[in-house]
Amino acid sequence: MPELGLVCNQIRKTIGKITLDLDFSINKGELVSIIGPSGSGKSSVLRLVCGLESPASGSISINGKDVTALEAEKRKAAIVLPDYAIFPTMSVEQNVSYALKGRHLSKEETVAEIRRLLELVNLGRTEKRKTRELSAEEQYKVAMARALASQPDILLLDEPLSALDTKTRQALRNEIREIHKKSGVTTLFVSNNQEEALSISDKVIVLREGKIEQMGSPEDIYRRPNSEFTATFTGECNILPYDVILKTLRVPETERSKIIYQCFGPEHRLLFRPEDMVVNDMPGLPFPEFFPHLRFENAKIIRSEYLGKEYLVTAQYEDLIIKVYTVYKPASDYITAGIRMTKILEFNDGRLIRH
Amino acid sequence: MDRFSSYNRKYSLAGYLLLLVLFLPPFVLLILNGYETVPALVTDMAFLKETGISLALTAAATLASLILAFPGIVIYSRCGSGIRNLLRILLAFSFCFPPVLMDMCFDILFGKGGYIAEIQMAGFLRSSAISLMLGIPLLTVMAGEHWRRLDSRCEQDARTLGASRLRIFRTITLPKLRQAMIGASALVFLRSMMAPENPILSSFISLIVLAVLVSSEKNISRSESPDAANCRKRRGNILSVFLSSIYMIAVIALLLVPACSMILRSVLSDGQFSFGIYMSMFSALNPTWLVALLFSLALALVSSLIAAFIAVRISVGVASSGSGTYIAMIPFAVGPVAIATGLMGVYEWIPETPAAKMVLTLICHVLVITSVQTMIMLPAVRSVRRSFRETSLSLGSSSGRSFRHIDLRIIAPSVRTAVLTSCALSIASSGAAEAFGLNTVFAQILRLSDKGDTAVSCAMGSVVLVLCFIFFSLGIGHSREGKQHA
Repeated sequence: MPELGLVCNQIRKTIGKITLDLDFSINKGELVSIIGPSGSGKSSVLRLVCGLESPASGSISINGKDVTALEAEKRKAAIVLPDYAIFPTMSVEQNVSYALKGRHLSKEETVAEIRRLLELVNLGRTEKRKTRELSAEEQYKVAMARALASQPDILLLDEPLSALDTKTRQALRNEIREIHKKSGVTTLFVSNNQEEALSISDKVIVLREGKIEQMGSPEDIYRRPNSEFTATFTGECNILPYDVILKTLRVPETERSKIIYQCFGPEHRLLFRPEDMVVNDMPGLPFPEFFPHLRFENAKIIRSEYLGKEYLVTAQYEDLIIKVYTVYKPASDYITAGIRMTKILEFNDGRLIRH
Repeated sequence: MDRFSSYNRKYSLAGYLLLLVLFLPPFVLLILNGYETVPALVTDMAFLKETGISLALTAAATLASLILAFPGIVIYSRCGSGIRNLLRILLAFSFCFPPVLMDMCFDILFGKGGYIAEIQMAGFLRSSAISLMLGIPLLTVMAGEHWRRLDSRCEQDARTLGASRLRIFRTITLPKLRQAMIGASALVFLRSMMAPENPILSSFISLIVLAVLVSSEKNISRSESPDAANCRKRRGNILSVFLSSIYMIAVIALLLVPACSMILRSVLSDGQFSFGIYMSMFSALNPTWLVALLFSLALALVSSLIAAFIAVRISVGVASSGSGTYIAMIPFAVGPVAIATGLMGVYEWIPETPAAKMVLTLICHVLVITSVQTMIMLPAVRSVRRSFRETSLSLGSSSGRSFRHIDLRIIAPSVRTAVLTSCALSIASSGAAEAFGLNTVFAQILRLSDKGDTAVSCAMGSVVLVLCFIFFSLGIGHSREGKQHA
């Protein structure tokens, strides 16, 4: 059984309007992301773990040791805040060595360790540079090196890439994964970018109004969301009422009533991802037959958004709005799209009941 | 209460306690010794009339300063950093210009045998003119600095919506500036009130004005946006640049005229330029002069350092709790003369020794400049991001180490600014040393001036002015460094 790196046991804490109610654990050495809308309490989770806030009830254990009553400086939980908090009166070297003080290294060891850490974060020879000369990316790297210098039991990253441009973010999220792999430190990563969180994490926690909506692997979160909230928050999706089946189901007539009876009830809602849909945007071309599936024939295109590698097309089918991805810009004002029944998730009162 | 608040409270406690221990005895004695005279004074129509006129004149001079300073405030908020720093040094220098020297300068200019003796100045006109000369620069710098830091995005949005400049100024800018103007006016009023007819009465009025200053200071700190400082439009048309240049040159010239007249009087005797007085002051080892100068410098330095010890702590407490500014500013509002009067009461209770005189003078200086230092340090302490200490704690440092290694280093330039500026203020302050008969450089200047030895007193005054200017310029340099850090 894997060793636990962090256990938050029935933690309760009210911060502002949000009441955090947390009960989760993560394995040692895992990289776990926390995602959720603004104000859902993501950063507050990190503040509780590193001791900047104390829980009203419950306990927090890091590497098997109960740290609930310990002060922040004794928890070995290093945090990187969104503004990086690079100490402005110190050079890069001094910033990193600030965190080495507790390790009682000799002067030579300190110099070597600073160099090792700066190389680990791909910062090269910047020891003597003043912090005000650093770019946002370099500041982030110094903050990472400094956090790792304290040899934390858990590394807490609070939206560390939010101040960076898209390209740098993409490069650095891979670096976070690399650094995590090399250092092996249990890492809790708060992100406001779902794609980023899904791409680098071992596990993802979806937070909603202070409570954990779902925790699981990125694939589970995206493909098998346990709630409408998780599904809509983690990516584009179509949510349609049950009676869409009655109108659009394509299946040999003999099986039609059987499928409708077996699959869904009138109080349920259906959810499917736009990328799972099969599209035919050329009028006159036959639509591929694969049974059973729902087909939205000649839906009128309302909007077509160019996303770079594909288009997100929003179309109206009777009184339903559906979204699909197409590789090329639709050639006409109408589109036909279909979705296999096996790709449809079924929700009741916002909760997943079947997929 | 979180960890930082708890630490800040403990840290600031020593500052508050020390301030109260130093301030309360003279203040209580001032009240005890003076309250008997108050009933008689408040029924004395002549005194009331005189006080009323004095207050009305001070208020009028403050209002006039505000009106006259307004163009300067606009210019200050819009000019580039180089010109602004120059203006800041030249204008804020007047804050250190000792009122006693200003009075002497007016004597040189308008007194008997003065350079422009044709202009006869009545007593009240003269005091109003001095108030104006000291008030305009202070208002320009304080309100201008605030205007510069106001977020200009609302104004820009209003412009895109088609509002005229005048309408934008009236409806958006002026309401935002109001607090800064009220605060700066309150400070100018307090400075002008510092020569009280009756210490208790003037202290009472000052404390009321102080409430206005403190309340506006809170609002000012809330409305300022550090990122907005570079957003303000800096260019103007040729006419406005020309007019603003003329205005600034006129204000600076007006400020420099008194100082220049003093220097001129010291080097011009019988129509001949001579630096003999300076040569004899520095080369002939004039013990009286040198001792007085060194003593004043030592007094200024020691009192500034003690005040810095208290002011850093109080600033941390104020920034953390959002209250306490009033306590820190009370000694400044009560004023050095009232404090010196209270300390005279203390002096009657203790053995009369030179050491006692020196300690009491030191206390008076410390109390007044602590308030000034708190005002200088407070914005810097407030600008330190909370995330620095939070990160430091998560890296395994204690609250104390985090504060010493991070916060204190960030505010260090502001502390240096406060120490240097208050050194200048302390040298320029004459009340307590005069009351206790100590041999400070100001006592020398006043003594020589009373004897009618104007040339030597002017030479000494010029040296003091130059010293104040050096201290202040160094202080401004450090404040720039502090802003870069913040």
